[in-house]
Amino acid sequence: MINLGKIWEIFITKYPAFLQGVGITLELAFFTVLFGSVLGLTVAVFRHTSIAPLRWLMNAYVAFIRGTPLLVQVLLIVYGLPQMGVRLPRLTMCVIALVINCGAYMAELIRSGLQSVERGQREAAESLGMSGAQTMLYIILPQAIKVTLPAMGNEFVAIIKESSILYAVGVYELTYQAYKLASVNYYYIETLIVAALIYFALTYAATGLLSLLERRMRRADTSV
Amino acid sequence: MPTQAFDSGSGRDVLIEIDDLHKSFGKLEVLKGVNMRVRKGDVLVLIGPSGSGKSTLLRSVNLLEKPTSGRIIFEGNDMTAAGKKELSTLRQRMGMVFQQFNLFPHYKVKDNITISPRRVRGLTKEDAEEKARRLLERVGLIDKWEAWPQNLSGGQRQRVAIVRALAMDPDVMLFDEPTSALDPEMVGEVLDVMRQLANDGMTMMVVTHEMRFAREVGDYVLFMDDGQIIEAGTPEQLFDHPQNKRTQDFLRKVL
Repeated sequence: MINLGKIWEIFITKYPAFLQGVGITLELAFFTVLFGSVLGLTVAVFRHTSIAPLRWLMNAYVAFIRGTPLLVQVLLIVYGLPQMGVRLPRLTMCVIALVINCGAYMAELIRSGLQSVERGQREAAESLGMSGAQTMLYIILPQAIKVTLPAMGNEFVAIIKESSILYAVGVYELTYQAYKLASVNYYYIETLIVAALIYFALTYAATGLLSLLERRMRRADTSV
Repeated sequence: MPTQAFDSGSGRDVLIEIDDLHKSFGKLEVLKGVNMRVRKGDVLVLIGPSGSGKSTLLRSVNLLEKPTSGRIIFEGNDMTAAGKKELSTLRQRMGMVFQQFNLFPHYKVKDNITISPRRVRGLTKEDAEEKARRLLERVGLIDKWEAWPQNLSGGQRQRVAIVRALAMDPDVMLFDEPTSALDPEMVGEVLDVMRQLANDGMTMMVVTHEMRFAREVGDYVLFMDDGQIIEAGTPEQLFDHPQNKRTQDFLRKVL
Protein backbone atom coordinates (compact mmCIF):
# COMPACT_ATOMS: atom_id res chain seq x y z
CA MET A 1 0.00 0.00 0.00
CA ILE A 2 1.02 3.58 -0.48
CA ASN A 3 1.78 5.37 2.75
CA LEU A 4 0.36 8.86 2.20
CA GLY A 5 1.75 10.30 5.42
CA LYS A 6 5.17 9.11 4.41
CA ILE A 7 5.08 11.23 1.25
CA TRP A 8 4.85 14.42 3.28
CA GLU A 9 7.42 13.21 5.77
CA ILE A 10 9.93 12.39 3.05
CA PHE A 11 9.46 15.82 1.49
CA ILE A 12 9.82 17.68 4.82
CA THR A 13 12.85 15.79 6.05
CA LYS A 14 14.70 15.52 2.76
CA TYR A 15 13.74 18.74 1.01
CA PRO A 16 17.34 20.03 0.71
CA ALA A 17 18.15 17.07 -1.52
CA PHE A 18 15.03 17.63 -3.62
CA LEU A 19 15.78 21.34 -3.89
CA GLN A 20 19.29 20.59 -5.06
CA GLY A 21 17.78 18.35 -7.72
CA VAL A 22 15.31 21.07 -8.73
CA GLY A 23 18.17 23.53 -9.02
CA ILE A 24 20.12 21.30 -11.36
CA THR A 25 17.01 20.40 -13.39
CA LEU A 26 16.14 24.07 -13.91
CA GLU A 27 19.73 24.94 -14.67
CA LEU A 28 19.83 22.21 -17.31
CA ALA A 29 16.57 23.37 -18.87
CA PHE A 30 17.61 27.02 -18.87
CA PHE A 31 21.01 26.56 -20.49
CA THR A 32 19.70 23.96 -22.89
CA VAL A 33 16.99 26.28 -24.19
CA LEU A 34 19.37 29.25 -24.26
CA PHE A 35 22.14 27.58 -26.26
CA GLY A 36 19.71 25.31 -28.08
CA SER A 37 17.91 28.37 -29.44
CA VAL A 38 21.15 29.89 -30.68
CA LEU A 39 22.13 26.59 -32.29
CA GLY A 40 18.66 26.09 -33.76
CA LEU A 41 18.63 29.62 -35.15
CA THR A 42 22.01 29.12 -36.79
CA VAL A 43 21.00 25.78 -38.27
CA ALA A 44 17.66 27.16 -39.50
CA VAL A 45 19.36 30.08 -41.25
CA PHE A 46 22.02 27.87 -42.84
CA ARG A 47 19.33 25.53 -44.12
CA HIS A 48 18.34 28.48 -46.33
CA THR A 49 21.84 29.09 -47.63
CA SER A 50 22.75 28.65 -51.27
CA ILE A 51 25.82 26.60 -50.28
CA ALA A 52 24.50 23.10 -50.92
CA PRO A 53 26.92 20.99 -48.80
CA LEU A 54 26.26 23.18 -45.78
CA ARG A 55 22.52 22.78 -46.35
CA TRP A 56 22.85 18.99 -46.57
CA LEU A 57 24.93 18.90 -43.41
CA MET A 58 22.30 20.88 -41.51
CA ASN A 59 19.47 18.72 -42.83
CA ALA A 60 21.38 15.55 -41.92
CA TYR A 61 21.99 16.85 -38.41
CA VAL A 62 18.32 17.63 -37.85
CA ALA A 63 17.19 14.32 -39.31
CA PHE A 64 19.71 12.28 -37.29
CA ILE A 65 18.95 13.93 -33.96
CA ARG A 66 15.21 13.71 -34.44
CA GLY A 67 15.52 10.09 -35.49
CA THR A 68 17.53 8.80 -32.52
CA PRO A 69 16.66 8.53 -28.80
CA LEU A 70 17.82 11.27 -26.47
CA LEU A 71 19.27 8.71 -24.06
CA VAL A 72 21.51 7.26 -26.75
CA GLN A 73 22.68 10.76 -27.67
CA VAL A 74 23.45 11.50 -24.02
CA LEU A 75 25.38 8.23 -23.58
CA LEU A 76 27.32 8.90 -26.78
CA ILE A 77 28.44 12.30 -25.53
CA VAL A 78 29.02 11.41 -21.88
CA TYR A 79 31.05 8.26 -22.62
CA GLY A 80 32.18 9.15 -26.13
CA LEU A 81 33.84 12.50 -25.43
CA PRO A 82 36.18 11.17 -22.70
CA GLN A 83 37.13 8.27 -24.96
CA MET A 84 38.12 10.86 -27.55
CA GLY A 85 40.26 12.59 -24.94
CA VAL A 86 37.85 15.44 -24.18
CA ARG A 87 37.66 15.84 -20.42
CA LEU A 88 34.78 17.97 -19.18
CA PRO A 89 32.64 17.99 -16.04
CA ARG A 90 29.81 15.52 -16.44
CA LEU A 91 27.14 18.19 -16.06
CA THR A 92 28.74 20.19 -18.89
CA MET A 93 28.73 17.15 -21.14
CA CYS A 94 25.07 16.59 -20.34
CA VAL A 95 24.27 20.19 -21.26
CA ILE A 96 26.15 19.70 -24.53
CA ALA A 97 24.12 16.58 -25.29
CA LEU A 98 20.84 18.31 -24.46
CA VAL A 99 21.81 21.40 -26.51
CA ILE A 100 22.65 19.27 -29.54
CA ASN A 101 19.30 17.54 -29.15
CA CYS A 102 17.31 20.69 -28.48
CA GLY A 103 19.01 22.57 -31.34
CA ALA A 104 17.56 20.18 -33.90
CA TYR A 105 14.03 20.63 -32.60
CA MET A 106 14.49 24.40 -32.35
CA ALA A 107 15.74 24.46 -35.95
CA GLU A 108 12.49 22.79 -37.03
CA LEU A 109 10.41 25.26 -35.02
CA ILE A 110 12.27 28.25 -36.43
CA ARG A 111 11.99 26.84 -39.92
CA SER A 112 8.22 26.75 -39.70
CA GLY A 113 8.42 30.28 -38.27
CA LEU A 114 10.44 31.39 -41.29
CA GLN A 115 7.92 29.78 -43.61
CA SER A 116 5.06 31.60 -41.90
CA VAL A 117 6.46 35.00 -42.92
CA GLU A 118 4.60 36.17 -46.02
CA ARG A 119 6.44 36.17 -49.31
CA GLY A 120 5.59 39.83 -49.79
CA GLN A 121 7.85 40.75 -46.88
CA ARG A 122 10.91 39.39 -48.67
CA GLU A 123 9.80 41.03 -51.92
CA ALA A 124 9.33 44.40 -50.25
CA ALA A 125 12.76 44.19 -48.63
CA GLU A 126 14.43 43.16 -51.88
CA SER A 127 12.66 45.87 -53.82
CA LEU A 128 14.17 48.36 -51.37
CA GLY A 129 17.62 47.12 -52.29
CA MET A 130 18.29 44.97 -49.23
CA SER A 131 20.70 42.08 -49.70
CA GLY A 132 19.69 38.53 -48.84
CA ALA A 133 21.46 38.75 -45.49
CA GLN A 134 19.87 42.11 -44.62
CA THR A 135 16.44 40.81 -45.59
CA MET A 136 16.91 37.81 -43.32
CA LEU A 137 18.35 39.81 -40.43
CA TYR A 138 16.07 42.85 -40.39
CA ILE A 139 12.84 41.59 -41.94
CA ILE A 140 12.32 37.81 -41.94
CA LEU A 141 14.05 36.60 -38.79
CA PRO A 142 12.48 39.03 -36.28
CA GLN A 143 9.01 38.06 -37.49
CA ALA A 144 9.84 34.35 -37.53
CA ILE A 145 11.23 34.40 -34.00
CA LYS A 146 8.18 36.21 -32.74
CA VAL A 147 5.82 33.48 -33.92
CA THR A 148 8.23 30.80 -32.70
CA LEU A 149 8.62 32.12 -29.14
CA PRO A 150 5.61 30.29 -27.63
CA ALA A 151 6.83 26.96 -29.05
CA MET A 152 10.31 27.69 -27.70
CA GLY A 153 8.75 28.19 -24.28
CA ASN A 154 7.09 24.80 -24.56
CA GLU A 155 10.50 23.34 -25.32
CA PHE A 156 11.69 24.67 -21.95
CA VAL A 157 8.83 22.83 -20.24
CA ALA A 158 9.61 19.67 -22.20
CA ILE A 159 13.27 19.74 -21.17
CA ILE A 160 12.36 20.07 -17.49
CA LYS A 161 10.76 16.66 -17.89
CA GLU A 162 13.10 15.06 -20.40
CA SER A 163 16.24 15.92 -18.47
CA SER A 164 15.12 13.27 -15.99
CA ILE A 165 16.80 10.62 -18.15
CA LEU A 166 20.14 12.09 -17.08
CA TYR A 167 19.70 10.09 -13.87
CA ALA A 168 21.07 7.25 -15.99
CA VAL A 169 24.47 8.92 -16.18
CA GLY A 170 24.53 10.02 -12.56
CA VAL A 171 23.75 13.72 -12.79
CA TYR A 172 22.25 14.93 -9.51
CA GLU A 173 19.07 16.26 -11.03
CA LEU A 174 15.67 15.77 -9.47
CA THR A 175 15.01 12.19 -10.58
CA TYR A 176 18.45 11.01 -9.51
CA GLN A 177 18.00 12.60 -6.10
CA ALA A 178 14.69 10.86 -5.62
CA TYR A 179 16.05 7.53 -6.80
CA LYS A 180 19.02 7.81 -4.48
CA LEU A 181 16.81 8.61 -1.48
CA ALA A 182 14.45 5.75 -2.28
CA SER A 183 17.26 3.24 -2.48
CA VAL A 184 18.18 4.17 1.09
CA ASN A 185 14.71 4.46 2.68
CA TYR A 186 13.06 1.75 0.53
CA TYR A 187 9.90 3.91 0.13
CA TYR A 188 10.20 3.85 -3.65
CA ILE A 189 6.65 4.82 -4.53
CA GLU A 190 6.35 7.55 -1.92
CA THR A 191 9.70 9.13 -2.75
CA LEU A 192 9.07 9.07 -6.49
CA ILE A 193 5.61 10.57 -5.95
CA VAL A 194 7.32 13.51 -4.24
CA ALA A 195 9.54 13.90 -7.31
CA ALA A 196 6.55 13.63 -9.64
CA LEU A 197 4.65 16.30 -7.70
CA ILE A 198 7.64 18.61 -7.80
CA TYR A 199 7.99 18.09 -11.57
CA PHE A 200 4.31 18.85 -11.97
CA ALA A 201 4.56 22.02 -9.88
CA LEU A 202 7.54 23.15 -11.98
CA THR A 203 5.95 22.54 -15.37
CA TYR A 204 2.61 23.93 -14.24
CA ALA A 205 4.24 27.14 -13.03
CA ALA A 206 6.42 27.42 -16.13
CA THR A 207 3.44 26.90 -18.45
CA GLY A 208 1.44 29.54 -16.59
CA LEU A 209 4.28 31.99 -16.74
CA LEU A 210 4.72 31.42 -20.45
CA SER A 211 1.06 31.93 -21.30
CA LEU A 212 1.13 35.13 -19.27
CA LEU A 213 4.09 36.35 -21.34
CA GLU A 214 2.33 35.31 -24.52
CA ARG A 215 -0.77 37.31 -23.59
CA ARG A 216 1.42 40.32 -22.82
CA MET A 217 3.09 40.05 -26.19
CA ARG A 218 -0.20 39.81 -28.01
CA ARG A 219 -1.54 42.83 -26.17
CA ALA A 220 1.58 44.84 -27.09
CA ASP A 221 0.83 43.83 -30.66
CA THR A 222 -2.62 45.33 -30.90
CA SER A 223 -2.09 48.55 -28.94
CA VAL A 224 0.00 51.51 -29.97
CA MET B 1 -0.45 38.72 -84.57
CA PRO B 2 2.65 40.95 -84.52
CA THR B 3 3.68 42.06 -81.07
CA GLN B 4 3.52 45.78 -80.44
CA ALA B 5 6.75 47.42 -79.34
CA PHE B 6 6.17 50.48 -77.22
CA ASP B 7 8.26 53.63 -77.11
CA SER B 8 6.84 57.04 -76.31
CA GLY B 9 9.58 58.48 -78.49
CA SER B 10 9.47 61.68 -76.49
CA GLY B 11 13.16 62.34 -77.05
CA ARG B 12 13.92 62.11 -73.34
CA ASP B 13 16.48 59.62 -71.98
CA VAL B 14 15.55 55.96 -72.00
CA LEU B 15 15.41 54.70 -68.40
CA ILE B 16 14.29 51.13 -68.93
CA GLU B 17 14.55 49.03 -72.03
CA ILE B 18 12.65 45.77 -72.12
CA ASP B 19 13.91 43.51 -74.83
CA ASP B 20 11.96 40.45 -76.07
CA LEU B 21 10.94 39.46 -72.54
CA HIS B 22 9.55 35.97 -72.01
CA LYS B 23 8.42 34.43 -68.75
CA SER B 24 7.02 30.97 -68.12
CA PHE B 25 5.80 29.39 -64.92
CA GLY B 26 6.33 25.71 -65.64
CA LYS B 27 4.48 25.06 -68.88
CA LEU B 28 2.41 28.23 -68.65
CA GLU B 29 3.87 31.01 -70.77
CA VAL B 30 2.80 34.28 -69.16
CA LEU B 31 4.91 36.74 -71.12
CA LYS B 32 5.32 36.04 -74.81
CA GLY B 33 7.86 38.56 -75.96
CA VAL B 34 7.41 42.07 -74.61
CA ASN B 35 9.36 44.95 -76.13
CA MET B 36 9.13 48.44 -74.70
CA ARG B 37 11.02 51.48 -73.54
CA VAL B 38 10.33 53.63 -70.54
CA ARG B 39 11.63 57.15 -70.89
CA LYS B 40 12.37 59.62 -68.13
CA GLY B 41 9.16 61.25 -66.95
CA ASP B 42 6.85 58.76 -68.67
CA VAL B 43 3.73 57.77 -66.76
CA LEU B 44 2.79 54.45 -68.32
CA VAL B 45 -0.39 52.68 -67.29
CA LEU B 46 -0.74 48.99 -68.02
CA ILE B 47 -4.27 47.67 -68.35
CA GLY B 48 -5.70 44.35 -69.42
CA PRO B 49 -7.71 41.36 -68.24
CA SER B 50 -6.45 39.34 -65.28
CA GLY B 51 -3.93 36.76 -66.40
CA SER B 52 -2.79 38.99 -69.24
CA GLY B 53 0.72 39.19 -67.75
CA LYS B 54 0.74 42.85 -66.75
CA SER B 55 1.68 42.21 -63.11
CA THR B 56 4.29 39.66 -64.15
CA LEU B 57 5.76 42.23 -66.55
CA LEU B 58 5.98 44.82 -63.78
CA ARG B 59 7.51 42.32 -61.32
CA SER B 60 10.03 41.28 -63.96
CA VAL B 61 11.26 44.85 -64.34
CA ASN B 62 12.95 44.73 -60.91
CA LEU B 63 13.61 41.00 -61.19
CA LEU B 64 11.18 39.88 -58.51
CA GLU B 65 10.29 37.47 -61.27
CA LYS B 66 13.28 36.11 -63.11
CA PRO B 67 12.64 36.29 -66.87
CA THR B 68 12.90 33.05 -68.81
CA SER B 69 14.58 34.95 -71.64
CA GLY B 70 15.03 38.49 -72.83
CA ARG B 71 16.72 41.46 -71.23
CA ILE B 72 15.90 44.37 -68.95
CA ILE B 73 18.28 47.28 -69.32
CA PHE B 74 17.95 49.86 -66.55
CA GLU B 75 19.99 53.04 -66.89
CA GLY B 76 22.44 51.19 -69.09
CA ASN B 77 22.79 48.16 -66.78
CA ASP B 78 21.59 44.71 -67.78
CA MET B 79 19.45 43.69 -64.80
CA THR B 80 19.04 40.16 -66.11
CA ALA B 81 22.81 39.61 -66.12
CA ALA B 82 23.50 41.37 -62.83
CA GLY B 83 24.98 39.50 -59.87
CA LYS B 84 23.22 39.57 -56.50
CA LYS B 85 25.07 42.60 -55.26
CA GLU B 86 24.66 44.65 -58.41
CA LEU B 87 20.98 43.71 -58.53
CA SER B 88 20.45 45.05 -55.00
CA THR B 89 22.17 48.29 -55.99
CA LEU B 90 20.01 48.68 -59.09
CA ARG B 91 16.83 47.92 -57.16
CA GLN B 92 17.57 50.84 -54.82
CA ARG B 93 16.73 53.14 -57.72
CA MET B 94 13.44 51.37 -58.52
CA GLY B 95 10.68 51.91 -55.99
CA MET B 96 7.93 49.33 -55.86
CA VAL B 97 4.45 49.52 -54.38
CA PHE B 98 2.50 46.30 -53.87
CA GLN B 99 -1.17 45.43 -53.90
CA GLN B 100 -0.90 44.05 -50.35
CA PHE B 101 1.20 47.02 -49.09
CA ASN B 102 3.78 44.67 -47.53
CA LEU B 103 4.68 47.05 -44.73
CA PHE B 104 6.95 45.49 -42.12
CA PRO B 105 4.61 44.68 -39.20
CA HIS B 106 7.40 44.61 -36.61
CA TYR B 107 8.47 48.18 -37.32
CA LYS B 108 6.69 51.45 -36.60
CA VAL B 109 5.84 53.72 -39.52
CA LYS B 110 9.02 55.76 -39.04
CA ASP B 111 11.21 52.64 -39.04
CA ASN B 112 9.42 51.15 -42.05
CA ILE B 113 10.47 54.26 -43.94
CA THR B 114 13.99 54.73 -42.56
CA ILE B 115 15.27 51.15 -42.33
CA SER B 116 16.40 50.92 -45.93
CA PRO B 117 17.93 54.39 -46.25
CA ARG B 118 19.86 53.66 -43.06
CA ARG B 119 20.87 50.04 -43.56
CA VAL B 120 21.24 49.97 -47.32
CA ARG B 121 22.37 53.48 -48.18
CA GLY B 122 24.10 54.18 -44.90
CA LEU B 123 22.28 57.40 -44.06
CA THR B 124 22.49 58.58 -40.45
CA LYS B 125 19.38 58.20 -38.30
CA GLU B 126 18.93 61.98 -38.30
CA ASP B 127 19.19 62.39 -42.06
CA ALA B 128 16.92 59.41 -42.75
CA GLU B 129 14.30 60.63 -40.29
CA GLU B 130 14.36 64.18 -41.58
CA LYS B 131 13.71 62.93 -45.07
CA ALA B 132 11.02 60.52 -43.88
CA ARG B 133 9.26 63.34 -42.03
CA ARG B 134 9.25 65.54 -45.10
CA LEU B 135 7.78 62.77 -47.26
CA LEU B 136 5.19 61.75 -44.68
CA GLU B 137 4.08 65.34 -44.43
CA ARG B 138 3.56 65.44 -48.15
CA VAL B 139 1.10 62.54 -47.99
CA GLY B 140 -0.59 63.95 -44.89
CA LEU B 141 0.46 61.24 -42.45
CA ILE B 142 3.00 62.94 -40.22
CA ASP B 143 0.75 62.26 -37.21
CA LYS B 144 1.31 58.52 -37.80
CA TRP B 145 5.07 58.80 -37.26
CA GLU B 146 5.04 56.57 -34.17
CA ALA B 147 2.13 54.34 -35.23
CA TRP B 148 2.27 50.62 -35.98
CA PRO B 149 1.18 49.56 -39.48
CA GLN B 150 -1.52 47.30 -37.99
CA ASN B 151 -3.28 50.36 -36.62
CA LEU B 152 -3.55 52.17 -39.95
CA SER B 153 -6.34 51.96 -42.50
CA GLY B 154 -5.62 50.38 -45.86
CA GLY B 155 -5.32 53.74 -47.58
CA GLN B 156 -2.92 55.00 -44.92
CA ARG B 157 -0.83 51.84 -45.19
CA GLN B 158 -0.49 52.22 -48.92
CA ARG B 159 0.51 55.86 -48.58
CA VAL B 160 3.19 54.84 -46.07
CA ALA B 161 4.33 52.15 -48.50
CA ILE B 162 4.68 54.78 -51.23
CA VAL B 163 6.69 56.99 -48.88
CA ARG B 164 8.88 54.02 -47.93
CA ALA B 165 9.74 53.50 -51.61
CA LEU B 166 10.28 57.23 -52.21
CA ALA B 167 12.68 57.47 -49.28
CA MET B 168 15.26 55.63 -51.40
CA ASP B 169 15.17 58.42 -54.03
CA PRO B 170 14.17 56.08 -56.85
CA ASP B 171 14.42 57.09 -60.50
CA VAL B 172 11.29 55.12 -61.34
CA MET B 173 8.29 53.90 -59.36
CA LEU B 174 6.52 50.61 -60.10
CA PHE B 175 2.94 50.27 -58.89
CA ASP B 176 1.42 46.78 -58.86
CA GLU B 177 -2.35 47.23 -58.54
CA PRO B 178 -1.89 49.70 -55.66
CA THR B 179 -5.60 50.22 -55.02
CA SER B 180 -6.98 46.74 -55.65
CA ALA B 181 -6.91 45.67 -51.98
CA LEU B 182 -8.50 48.90 -50.74
CA ASP B 183 -12.04 49.65 -49.65
CA PRO B 184 -13.63 51.93 -52.28
CA GLU B 185 -13.63 55.00 -50.02
CA MET B 186 -9.83 54.79 -49.64
CA VAL B 187 -8.92 54.49 -53.29
CA GLY B 188 -9.05 58.26 -53.81
CA GLU B 189 -6.44 59.16 -51.20
CA VAL B 190 -3.90 56.78 -52.74
CA LEU B 191 -4.60 57.91 -56.30
CA ASP B 192 -4.19 61.52 -55.15
CA VAL B 193 -0.67 60.78 -53.94
CA MET B 194 0.15 59.03 -57.21
CA ARG B 195 -1.25 61.92 -59.21
CA GLN B 196 0.89 64.34 -57.24
CA LEU B 197 3.95 62.17 -57.92
CA ALA B 198 3.21 62.12 -61.63
CA ASN B 199 2.84 65.88 -61.67
CA ASP B 200 6.22 66.20 -59.96
CA GLY B 201 7.75 64.42 -62.94
CA MET B 202 8.30 60.95 -61.47
CA THR B 203 8.72 58.18 -64.00
CA MET B 204 6.02 55.61 -63.28
CA MET B 205 4.80 52.23 -64.45
CA VAL B 206 1.35 51.52 -63.07
CA VAL B 207 -0.66 48.30 -63.30
CA THR B 208 -4.22 49.18 -62.42
CA HIS B 209 -7.90 48.58 -62.98
CA GLU B 210 -8.67 52.26 -62.33
CA MET B 211 -9.59 53.40 -65.84
CA ARG B 212 -10.32 56.95 -64.78
CA PHE B 213 -6.87 57.23 -63.27
CA ALA B 214 -5.36 55.76 -66.42
CA ARG B 215 -7.11 58.37 -68.53
CA GLU B 216 -6.39 61.35 -66.29
CA VAL B 217 -2.85 60.69 -65.19
CA GLY B 218 -1.33 58.33 -67.73
CA ASP B 219 0.81 59.79 -70.49
CA TYR B 220 0.38 56.51 -72.31
CA VAL B 221 -1.84 53.51 -71.78
CA LEU B 222 -0.68 50.03 -72.75
CA PHE B 223 -3.26 47.30 -73.26
CA MET B 224 -1.94 43.82 -72.59
CA ASP B 225 -3.55 40.48 -73.34
CA ASP B 226 -2.20 36.95 -73.50
CA GLY B 227 1.33 37.95 -72.52
CA GLN B 228 1.80 40.64 -75.13
CA ILE B 229 1.31 44.35 -75.60
CA ILE B 230 -1.66 44.45 -77.96
CA GLU B 231 -2.12 48.17 -78.30
CA ALA B 232 -0.58 51.32 -76.86
CA GLY B 233 -1.17 55.01 -77.18
CA THR B 234 -2.23 58.17 -75.44
CA PRO B 235 -5.31 57.77 -73.22
CA GLU B 236 -7.39 59.53 -75.90
CA GLN B 237 -6.20 57.21 -78.64
CA LEU B 238 -6.63 54.05 -76.61
CA PHE B 239 -9.87 54.78 -74.79
CA ASP B 240 -11.68 56.77 -77.50
CA HIS B 241 -10.36 55.19 -80.67
CA PRO B 242 -9.13 51.67 -79.90
CA GLN B 243 -7.93 50.01 -83.11
CA ASN B 244 -7.60 46.40 -82.03
CA LYS B 245 -10.65 44.22 -81.59
CA ARG B 246 -9.37 42.75 -78.32
CA THR B 247 -8.85 46.23 -76.92
CA GLN B 248 -12.35 47.19 -77.98
CA ASP B 249 -13.83 44.05 -76.34
CA PHE B 250 -11.95 44.67 -73.11
CA LEU B 251 -12.89 48.33 -72.89
CA ARG B 252 -16.52 47.54 -73.59
CA LYS B 253 -16.51 45.24 -70.57
CA VAL B 254 -14.79 47.56 -68.10
CA LEU B 255 -16.02 51.02 -69.07
